[in-house]
Amino acid sequence: MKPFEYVNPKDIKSVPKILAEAERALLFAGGTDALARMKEGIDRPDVVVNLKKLTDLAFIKSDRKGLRIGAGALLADIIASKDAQACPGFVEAVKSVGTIQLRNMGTLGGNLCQRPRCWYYRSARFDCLRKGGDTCFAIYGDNKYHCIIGGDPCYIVYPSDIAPMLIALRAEIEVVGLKGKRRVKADDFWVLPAQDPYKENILQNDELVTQVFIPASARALKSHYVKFRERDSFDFAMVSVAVAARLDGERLTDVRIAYGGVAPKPWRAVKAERALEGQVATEERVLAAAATEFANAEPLEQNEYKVILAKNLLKRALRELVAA
Amino acid sequence: MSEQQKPGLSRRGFLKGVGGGVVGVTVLPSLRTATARYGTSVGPGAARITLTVNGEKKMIEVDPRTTLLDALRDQLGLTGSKRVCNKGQCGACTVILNGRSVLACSMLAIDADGATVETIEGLAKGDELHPVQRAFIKDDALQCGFCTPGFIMSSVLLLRQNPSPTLDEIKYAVSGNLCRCGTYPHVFKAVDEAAKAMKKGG
Ligand code: SF4
Ligand code: FES
Ligand code: FES
Repeated sequence: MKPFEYVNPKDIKSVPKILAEAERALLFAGGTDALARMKEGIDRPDVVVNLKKLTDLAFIKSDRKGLRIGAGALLADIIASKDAQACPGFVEAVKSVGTIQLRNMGTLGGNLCQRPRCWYYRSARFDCLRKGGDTCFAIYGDNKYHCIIGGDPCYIVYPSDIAPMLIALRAEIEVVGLKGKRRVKADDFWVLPAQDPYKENILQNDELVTQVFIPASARALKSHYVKFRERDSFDFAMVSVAVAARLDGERLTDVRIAYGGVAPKPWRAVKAERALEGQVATEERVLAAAATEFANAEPLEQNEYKVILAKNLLKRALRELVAA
Repeated sequence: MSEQQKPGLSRRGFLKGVGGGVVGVTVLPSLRTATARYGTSVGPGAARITLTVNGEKKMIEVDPRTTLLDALRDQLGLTGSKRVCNKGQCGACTVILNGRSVLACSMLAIDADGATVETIEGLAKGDELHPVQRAFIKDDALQCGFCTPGFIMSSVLLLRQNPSPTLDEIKYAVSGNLCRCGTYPHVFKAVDEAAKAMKKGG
């Protein structure tokens, strides 16, 4: 690992200034992903900006307007918080991240800004496209865990469990940079490789995530997160789905569906939402809605199973949502 | 889980890193000035930290790159916590930090400055093993033993928070620990027996 200077910024406002002035700076909160990347040599910062001592990033508050959670809040603290229980699907998603130990270390902001798991990306031996090279090795390589939709020129999946749920709950993400604050819809926060193959979200060089806002309207929704993984004790999702809706008798309204594990960003299933809005979620209708969503999917050689999985998980998620 | 990073930098950093002869461009002097204005900093040289490890106060000097695990093993001679994957994927390095279980391989030692750390070495009282340790031996809850210190730390923490766990609660408590020898059923049994022994005051 390359030597670095470890900086404790004196307040949130100082972070963008450090990011802007340092040539290679890395934001570091729980550090579980960042440190692994530094060990591997895929991140070689000169300056590591420690966010853990910024106590005004680590809060969980709820009021009339909704739930506000600081980017520095530990995942374990979110799970334990009474305020977060008002959005059960959100807590399910947070609980499904990593392991007990990792949730004791990892933060909300870190989870939303973690880097991809693609093994070519994670190995310093592959100078792949996302790291500035010319080739995506996943296209003809081992691509069992890669995306089935929204790829090109890079076929990662975005690994966060919390991200799809934030989209389903119409959450917003607050970002602070040199020019001050801005609030972005969770739905607009992550980007596809066609827009920018080198980063996964809209953060500018001088920006950091400071908080997440889940509107009070989310409390009136039923929400549920279903995660399918190869190893049940802990693992990243092969496919996961976050669903949120209001139940009007048997009918679903205000339906929002977002997938993890299928695309380079958390994938909002707009076509499936439209097909299900105002409808009774019968098995046939749900499968048809998912089929419409993934009609244009382009699986790679080893991941066609994800198309089937994505359809079946939506069926399961909505069945459980209605039954809950 | 993890961190946000300054977007784009990774790429630039990478390009520079593979540039062969032109590496070694650092901007540390100007940064020093920047950080003085915007906060405090340590490194790239060694930093002094204080830890309370198994009840004893220790002061050590660490390079900021040192993980808590390496500081424990290499500088404090506490080799009980195991370095297996070294990337947060197995739980063999589990220690209790300020009352919570964490992966010592996945955090910097400097971030543990001022913290209380409990490792497997601190469990026995003199020659008397902790009830969880005794149960692991009695129930053959290990084969190669590499995962064992991590499993035991997770189990000890569970029994502290929940003295009468159900089987599911035991499974959940050690779900972040991997055993490639597959001793899980024996681990569950050992934790259950340890819980019962501890309630009897064993
Ligand atoms: S999928 Fe993306 S990160 Fe993985 S090898 Fe291809 S370009 Fe690199
Ligand atoms: S050695 Fe720390 S998790 Fe494997
Ligand atoms: S006893 Fe060998 S890894 Fe668990």
